[in-house]
Amino acid sequence: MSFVNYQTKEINCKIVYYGPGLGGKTTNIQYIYQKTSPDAKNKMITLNTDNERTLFFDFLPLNLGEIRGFKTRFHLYTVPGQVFYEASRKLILRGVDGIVFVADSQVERLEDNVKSFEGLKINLEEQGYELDKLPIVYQWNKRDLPNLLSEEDLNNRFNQNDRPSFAASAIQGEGVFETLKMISKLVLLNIKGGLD
Amino acid sequence: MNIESIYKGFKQANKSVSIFSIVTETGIELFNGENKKNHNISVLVSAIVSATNSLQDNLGHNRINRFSISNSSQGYLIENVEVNQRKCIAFLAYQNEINPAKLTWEFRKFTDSINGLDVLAIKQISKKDKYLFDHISDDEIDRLFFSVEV
Repeated sequence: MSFVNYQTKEINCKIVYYGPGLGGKTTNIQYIYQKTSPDAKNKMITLNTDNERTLFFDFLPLNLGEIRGFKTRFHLYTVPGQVFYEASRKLILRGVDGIVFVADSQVERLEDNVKSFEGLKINLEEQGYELDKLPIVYQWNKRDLPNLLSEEDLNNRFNQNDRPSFAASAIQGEGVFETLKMISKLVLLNIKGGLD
Repeated sequence: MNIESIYKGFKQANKSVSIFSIVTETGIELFNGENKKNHNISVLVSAIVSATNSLQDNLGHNRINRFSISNSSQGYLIENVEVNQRKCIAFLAYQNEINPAKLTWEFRKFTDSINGLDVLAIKQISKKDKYLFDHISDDEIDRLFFSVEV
């Protein structure tokens, strides 16, 4: 749940990058971290296994600029993609304000994407959320690789409510900030608590 | 009494305290005793508490509202508190403490005294059913990110 401090005029929001293992979630926020000026970021936290796979979460706090007098702070999280870390994924979704679903566009990863997406819906429901009512952006990642599903196929399969989607190659930085800007906008527009 | 003055008294009596903060369950820091907000620490504290709660649920145990990680002279204490009508986590780190048991007892008394306080003096009342922004242009979003993409 976003947190608005009217005294200091600060908005805090939580965005979770969700998707199958090795789909590029961590690569997204690593790219954001690399391209962000030191003033706007804190240290990135990664809770990894010994072989560099996400164990619990990655976390990057971003202090963005102001919007209509409110300072904005976005907390970016990734969940671990590997199947057996379901408990971690559930915990990270607590208090989420917006989701970036990072799918691997390769044909052979379709089943993994489907399993992850189904898991997302179940985990959100367990936390009392409905996917249809939550800001979500789809990222079709790894567009630089061969043997890909078309963006149209991916949208038909996952994005039936016609939410924003972006083709990306996170490792090259393509589509990373476009995705983040869109989810940031949707999350800000979804904050309840207008001033009297 | 406000939280700043209560904390000042606690800190004066307990010099080994290096960090004290109040954090929401989702990792947002509401108060920092040293006025040095550190989002990484607040997120890790909330992760520890979330993971511990989940562990207790999986074990079928009742939830414990407090716990500590410590050795004989340094450690971390965590207590659940409610501030601004919100369930939160009180986190304390200490170093070079001669009597950790006494500090733990003092910390519990301190957290009891701040339970129910309004840490944030919210002056403007929000309308919960109304959106904060009714429209945001792409230009406004670009300006928001202006200092970020380098």
